[in-house]
Amino acid sequence: MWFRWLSASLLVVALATAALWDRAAGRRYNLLIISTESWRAESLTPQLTPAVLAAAERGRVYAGHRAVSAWTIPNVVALLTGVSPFEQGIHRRGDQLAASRNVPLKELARDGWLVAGLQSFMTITEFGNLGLSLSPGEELTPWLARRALDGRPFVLWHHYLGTHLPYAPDPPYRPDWKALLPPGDLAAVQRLETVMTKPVIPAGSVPFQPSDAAAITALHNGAYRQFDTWFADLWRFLDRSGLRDNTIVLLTADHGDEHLEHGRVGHASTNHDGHLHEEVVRVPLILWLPPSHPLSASAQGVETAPTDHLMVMPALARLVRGEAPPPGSLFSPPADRPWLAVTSRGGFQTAEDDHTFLAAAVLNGWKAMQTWRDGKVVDQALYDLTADPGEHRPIPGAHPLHDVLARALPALTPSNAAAAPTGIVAEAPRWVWPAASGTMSYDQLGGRVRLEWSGPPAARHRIEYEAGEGDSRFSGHMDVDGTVKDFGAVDRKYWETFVVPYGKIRLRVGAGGQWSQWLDMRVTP
Amino acid sequence: MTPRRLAAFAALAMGLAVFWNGARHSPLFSQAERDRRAWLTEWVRGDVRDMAQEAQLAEAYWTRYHDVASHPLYGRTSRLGVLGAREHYNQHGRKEGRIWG
Repeated sequence: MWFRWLSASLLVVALATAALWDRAAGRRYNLLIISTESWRAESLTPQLTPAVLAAAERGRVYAGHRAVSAWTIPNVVALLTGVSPFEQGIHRRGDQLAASRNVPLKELARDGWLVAGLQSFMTITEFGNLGLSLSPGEELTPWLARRALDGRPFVLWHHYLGTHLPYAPDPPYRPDWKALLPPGDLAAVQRLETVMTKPVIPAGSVPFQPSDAAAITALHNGAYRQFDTWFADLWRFLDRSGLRDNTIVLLTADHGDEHLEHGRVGHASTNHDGHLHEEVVRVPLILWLPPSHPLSASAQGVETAPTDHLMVMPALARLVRGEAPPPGSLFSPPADRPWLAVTSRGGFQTAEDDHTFLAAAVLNGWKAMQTWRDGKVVDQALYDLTADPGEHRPIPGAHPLHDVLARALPALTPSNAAAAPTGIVAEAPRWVWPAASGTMSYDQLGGRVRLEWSGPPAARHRIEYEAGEGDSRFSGHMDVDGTVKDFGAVDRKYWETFVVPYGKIRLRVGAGGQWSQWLDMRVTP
Repeated sequence: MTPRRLAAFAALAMGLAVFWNGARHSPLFSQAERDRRAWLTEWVRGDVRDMAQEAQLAEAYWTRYHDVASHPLYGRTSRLGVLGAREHYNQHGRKEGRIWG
């Protein structure tokens, strides 16, 4: 008798343990964060994004969402960390989050999630210290398919780039933009061709006219329609692969973009004269929880309360563990907290000696703005968003929100530039590939961008680069451990859209204060 | 039937039900799950231009690194099969200074 009891008890314990183990493992959800470049809130329409809206019927749409800066990096850092752009110390090229900061993605990586980014541009210094493990050049869906097969929980950030300037959708999505310009206006055609070919259009460099706006918007809308097709394919893959059953998906934008509403095209990094008007900060956000998630029933419908990028990661870090988000995050946005944002004037392209910042606050339909220069308030404005949603009629006088902004100014963390590599090397590095100055075409590269030089394999090196000419010229650096910088596979469209327009690139590499010769490369399709 | 037997029987039945609920979604019992995994494997293979070359490179990598060859996630008998070696290199090997292929 005792033997049968023991056997039965052991069997029950074993089965219960297996069931509980399975249940515990099931509480680790995957997370896919998709940020779409320069995606304006009002473009989430049945005409432009039918696939996104169809999928959104199974998710939660945040109709009052805003970005927190006017350029990509502070917004992405806010999304992935929950750290405000006031505290990030990221104001220009070369800045990055402090390495000592503990961020949610680092914790998830420690707890067993594979926290990844697959795109070559993510290897730049500015995305450092976020907790991402980078595999540059890997394709998105094969990578996801591998995760579906091996079952390892993951967090993946993917950034859709095709909606960034230049607004050059593929032919099936390209509108008849010339029909939207004044008949016979050849100068207008030239201006629009700039919009279709240049990733950067500094404010004032092209004499845009108000009559250009419709064609600019139509071209950008074409890029949004192309994005929608891409999203439809991805959504089908997520369904077919089974990943929808255990993956949280978040779709949003880094920021919006201006189509001449205030005289510019693009955003801070592309027009070098950024601002925080609604066309730049109002962006879509949609969250999908898998049906098995304990909170999936709560993640339906439309949330109209104001939300922003800072509320995202505190919620996601809990949701991936099957837990309820903390108060004040996406699931319970506070009604009485002002939205705050700040941007350097030129974003990624801000000059070292430019200490001008624009800050904005919104609460209860009022929007206050301030311009700060060298630590002082030099200008401010106030808008009634209900009566003047386009922000064209500033209201004279001060508002309590201006005081909120003024109090935030002293707390603005200064630039946290990535430290230069230290150490001693015996001799200056020499370029191995490319070995000498010359021409670099996509076919020569074979679709993979890779730099190599001589030097100690364990040493940290710094690559300095200069690209473009005139208004489009910019320079920067990136640090590399070892003697190879592998950007991985780069597709032809990326090369032709974001590299070729700069025309030429200069590069040198150094360690221990010793530098290689400059390489002068002319980049061609 | 005594109450003790009844309780034991109920516990056993509940345990079996939970176990069966999990088991029927496993590839062992579910044709849909087997189809899904086959489709995913095909999808992954579509990313690799030359599977014969990929298999050679994976074998070279496993031969060089025995710890990877026997690894449950990336080794010769892992679910990823031939692709496990490249996956290990992408996720860990590159950072550890290992040589691919």
